[in-house]
Order: sequence, then C-alpha cells, then structure tokens
Amino acid sequence: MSVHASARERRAGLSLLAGTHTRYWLLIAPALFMLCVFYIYPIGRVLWMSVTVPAPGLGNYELLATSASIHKMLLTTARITMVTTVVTLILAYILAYTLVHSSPRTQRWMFLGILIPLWISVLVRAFAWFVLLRRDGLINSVLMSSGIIDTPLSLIWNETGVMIGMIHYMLPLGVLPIYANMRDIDQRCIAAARGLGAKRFEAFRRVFLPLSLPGVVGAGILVFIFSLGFFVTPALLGGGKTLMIAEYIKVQILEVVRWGLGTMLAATLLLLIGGLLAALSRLVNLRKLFGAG
Amino acid sequence: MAGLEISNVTKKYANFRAVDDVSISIKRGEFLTLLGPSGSGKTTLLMMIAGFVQADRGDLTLNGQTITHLPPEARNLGMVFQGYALFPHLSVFDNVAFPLKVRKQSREEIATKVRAALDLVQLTALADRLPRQLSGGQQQRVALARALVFQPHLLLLDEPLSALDKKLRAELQDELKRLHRKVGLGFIYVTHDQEEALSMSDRIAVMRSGKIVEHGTPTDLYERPNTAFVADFIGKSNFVSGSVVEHRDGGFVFSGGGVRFVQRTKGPAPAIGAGVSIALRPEKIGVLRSGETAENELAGTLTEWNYLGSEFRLVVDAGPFGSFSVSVPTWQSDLAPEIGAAMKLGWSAAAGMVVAQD
Ligand SMILES: Nc1ncnc2c1ncn2[C@@H]1O[C@H](COP(=O)(O)OP(=O)(O)OP(=O)(O)O)[C@@H](O)[C@H]1O
Ligand SMILES: [Mg+2]
Repeated sequence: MSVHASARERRAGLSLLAGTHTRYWLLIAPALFMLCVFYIYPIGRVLWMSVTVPAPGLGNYELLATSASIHKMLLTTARITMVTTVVTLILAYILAYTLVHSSPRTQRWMFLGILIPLWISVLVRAFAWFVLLRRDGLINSVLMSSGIIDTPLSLIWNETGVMIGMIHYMLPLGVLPIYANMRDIDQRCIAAARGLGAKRFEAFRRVFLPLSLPGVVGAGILVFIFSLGFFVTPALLGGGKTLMIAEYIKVQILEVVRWGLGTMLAATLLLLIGGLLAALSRLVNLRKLFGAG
Repeated sequence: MAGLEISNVTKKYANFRAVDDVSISIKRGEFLTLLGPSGSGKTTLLMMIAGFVQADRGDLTLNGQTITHLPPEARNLGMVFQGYALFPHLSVFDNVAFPLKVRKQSREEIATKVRAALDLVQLTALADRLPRQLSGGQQQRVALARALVFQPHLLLLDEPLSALDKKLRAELQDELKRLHRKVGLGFIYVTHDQEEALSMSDRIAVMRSGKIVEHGTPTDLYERPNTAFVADFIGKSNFVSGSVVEHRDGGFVFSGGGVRFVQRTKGPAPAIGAGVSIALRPEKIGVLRSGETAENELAGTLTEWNYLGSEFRLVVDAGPFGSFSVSVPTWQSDLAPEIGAAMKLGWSAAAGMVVAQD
C-alpha cells in the first residue's frame, strides 16, 4: 500500500516537474527564437558563404596565407590592437588605483567622468576628436602658438589618430574590471606589508600589484577583443588609409562585393576570438573575471 | 631605556579625541595588555605605536630613540592584525619570509629563519599551503611567525584571538604565553576580554574614552581597583555607597539607605561626612543562615538563580540598594534557592574595596 502511494506521488511529482519545464521553455522561447533568427542563422550563413562563394572549397582561406594586402591589414590590426590594449591597461590601472584610494565623494565624481563617455555615441566622440586633433585643431594650434612645435603634428587620418580614439573608447571598459578587483583587496595587507618593513613602493610591488593582476587580465581580455573587431572609430579617424579588419570586411562586402573574402575574414575573426577565450578560460576563471560570482 | 615609552599621546578625529593624553611605558620582555570596551581607543593607540596613525601630540620613544615621526617600515615592530592580514597570494613559507626578503637577507639565511619561526609555532608541515587552505587557528600562528621572524623590538597584537571559538582561544592563550616567555620580547596585547587580560598579562592598562583610567598587575586591578569603572569592568562588582559617619581603628563606618556598614582601609579613612563607594565582588558576599551574623548585613529577596556546577549565581534584590549579584560555592552550601525567598546577605569589613565614584 505504501509502495503504491509513493509510486503515485512520484508520478505526480514528475508531471509537475514536466509542467514547470514546459512553462520554462515557453518563457524563454521568444528570446531563443530571436537569437536563432537574428544571430545564429546569419552567423551560420557567413560561415557557409566563406566556404562556398565564389566557388566551393577553402579557396578564400588560402588568401590568408598568400595575399599581401591581407597580410598588411592583419599586421595593422594586430599592431593597433596591441598598442591600444597595453596603453589602455596602463591608463586604466592608474585611474583605478586613484579611484580606490580616493574619498567616496571624489570617487563619485571620478565615476561620473569615467561613465559619461559610455553614454555618448561613439560617432559624437569621434567627431570631438576631429576638432581636437586636426592640423588646425585645438591641440596643434595651442602647441604652435606656444612655440613648442613649428609644423603641425599629424594626429589624425593615421594610426596615431585611430589609437587615440580607440584608447579613449576602451578606457571605461578597462577601468571597471580593474577597479572591481582592487576594491576587494584587503587594505590591511598593504598596511601589514609596511609594518613588516616594506617601503611604500615595495609594498605595492610585492603585495598590491600581484593581488590586482586578475583584474588586469580581465580588463586585458575585454579591451583586446573589443579592439580587434572595432569598426566606427578606426573608420572615422583612420581616414580610409589605416585599414583594420572590420573596415576591411566592410569594404570587401559593400564596395568591391567579394562576399567570399569578406565572410572568410569575419569567420576567421570569430574563430580567433573564440579560440582566445577558450585558451584563457583554461588559465583563469572568466566568470569571476567579469564579475559573475 | 630598553623598551617603549609613550608620553602624552593624543589623536583627534575632527573634534573627537580617540586617544586622549595617554602616557605609559613597557619594558623589554613585559606582557602589557590594553583592555577596554569597544571604541575606547585601543586600536588607535596601537596603530600610533605601529606608525599607521600619526599622533597629533605627544612622543613615542623606543629604546631611547624618538620614533614619533618614523614611517611604519622603519620602526621594526612586529604586528598581528585583527583578522591576521596574511598575504593571500603567498604560501605560508613566503608569508613568513616576507619581512626577511624586504630586508634583503640571503636565501639561506631566510630559509633557516623561516624554518625556525615555523617550528616555534608548530607549522613546519604546512609551509607550502596558501592562507585560504588553513584553519583560523593556523592562520593566526602564521601571522605570529611572520611578526616574530625578523626579531622586532616589540610585538603588537590587536585582538588576535577574537575570531576563534572558545576552546581554541584557550589553547592559543596558553601558546601565546609560552611563546612570550620563550622569545623574551615585549608584547602589547589588545583585547576587550577581561578574563583573557587577567590570565595572560604582566600588566594591564584599562582604557575608557581614549584615556588610561588605571594600570597595574592583574591582582592589583582585581583586588585593589581605584575606580568603580575598573572594579566593574574587571570581574563584576556590586556597589554600595553612603557617607562616612565614624572613624574606627583601621577603618570607618558609613551609612547609606538607613543602614550602617563597616569598612576596613589600609590607608587613611575618608573624612567624616564624605561620600564613599565600595565595590564588592560577588564571591565575597555570603548568604547568611538563620542565626548567623556578619559585620555587614543586608536583607533582600531572591529574584534569579543559576546553577553553574561549581557555584550558584544568585541575583538578590536589596530594595533601595538595587540588585546584588552573589556567587556561592556549591560545596560549602546547603542552599536550596527558591525565587521570591527572603535572604540575608553578609560580608566582612575587609571584603569591600573603596573606589572613586564616576
Ligand atoms: N579613521 C577614523 N575616523 C574617525 N573616527 C575614528 C577613526 N578611527 C577610529 N575612530 C573612532 O575612535 C574611537 C576609538 O576607536 P578604536 O578603533 O581605537 O577603538 P577600539 O578600542 O579598538 O574598539 P574595538 O574594541 O571595537 O576594536 C571610536 O569611537 C572610533 O569611532
Ligand atoms: Mg579595535
């Protein structure tokens, strides 16, 4: 009798569970549908086209090894991405360090300063840089009139301009993970280091710096990946001469209409970033880096 | 002088004096405890000694040298923080090696000294672990080894045992005392646990609102406190006050609430008519059986009692004199406490301690 009862209960429990499952699927179905239509399907198409257009086979991918203009573009992309990442990390580290060591009041103002650019359209920001960096822009005219230089510096329509714009865009993305990590460092550890005989800088080097590295790695991944596929700023501030991969793809697809080459590069970028993340996830806990858990 | 001399040290936060004109000294090899309620300024005083907080006024002298304005790293003092502050990214060995590394000692020298320090706290087997892989008691020992390994002039400890459970705390108290005898350094130990202070210290300084109210040996402070605050903070006390009515040989009589009490004194008795307070330890008050008498007697009713195995802890309401807490050893009493029962309390003229009123 008790066996029967428990079997019935179990069945009831199962159907209840199945009920919640159905409801659960119903709830996420719209999101799942959108994801498939607007995300998975196009990416699938891109991957497919990269091996079928103009002719089936890996012909497009062979260009990666043979085409000189692709080599040049990849090199430019790598160089700009690296420099942007390194400079952003250094600036972000200094900012985050100042931030955690400021009074709550100063912190609020600094945060505002760091976050406001995030809310301003990237286009607007690029045009703001025009005004500053042009040959007759603010920076050049100030430097010339104060006699520091006598020919204007070329700060725009080249790699320098692209990097300046990109670093400016990436800075908040770099500051936030580093700040989140530094905030969790126990200040007593630094005090303890001083008490045990370490001078200010040595306490920083031996204790604070190693403890803050996980945040730097997280920020590094974020900035690097964002920079790699960045489009608007390089397109605007590079003046068409400094081609990074995203703009190169756009040119292939929209201007010279070589869909095969364009989709091949897009697929390569996707795989590269996926591979990077996979490799890094073996080294560090990504979920923790980006603040989840 | 070998030791630390603190003279007239003051620290203000805005208009609030966290430490207020404190002077005290500690000799080499002495175990000095700073005892006081929460917020009394113990940590602030310790942080000024360590150099993390700058004194607004006053001087610190260590072994004859003024250290008031030296940065913490130049003072050569060992410090065990509340919560230990171990370096989470370094192994036990590297944590203990840290003060030696920043002193640029050789690799062999470091290895030998770290081994010795870990032996001292019995942690040799765990040298390769990270702090998060250790229990609270073990972390505490690492912090101790790290603070001792570079032979500091003095060891400062801020409530090192407060995060541990009672049994472990008792164990580590014994270990700390053993360690203190062995290394022969001066220890300045901060706690708000009066039992811990009594059992461990050579000398206790009791702090209140940023000032040292009294300092002395544990027996001094327990047996002969000068202030009502100390009498109540170290051990518990009952208070009886009144005004002096008569001098007697080696003592005086005072009257309060219509009852006359006799009290013996070692020094001169207070003037006739002066107000006095005496403090009475719970264990120095007895419950009188019918027919028994004592030099001082007070009637009351039992309002609460607890059986603690070795003793009965009674709370007796003595009318205008307030509540009395009384402890009676179980072995010498045939007490059958009953709430609401009338009781007569008694104590000898030597039992009370004359204290200054607040
Ligand atoms: N940085 C500070 N700014 C303002 N007030 C402070 C600061 N540090 C301490 N205080 C105040 O000084 C007083 C003494 O603090 P302290 O930490 O020395 O107390 P404590 O005796 O160590 O107490 P506890 O037993 O709770 O640790 C407290 O009232 C505290 O609020
Ligand atoms: Mg404290």
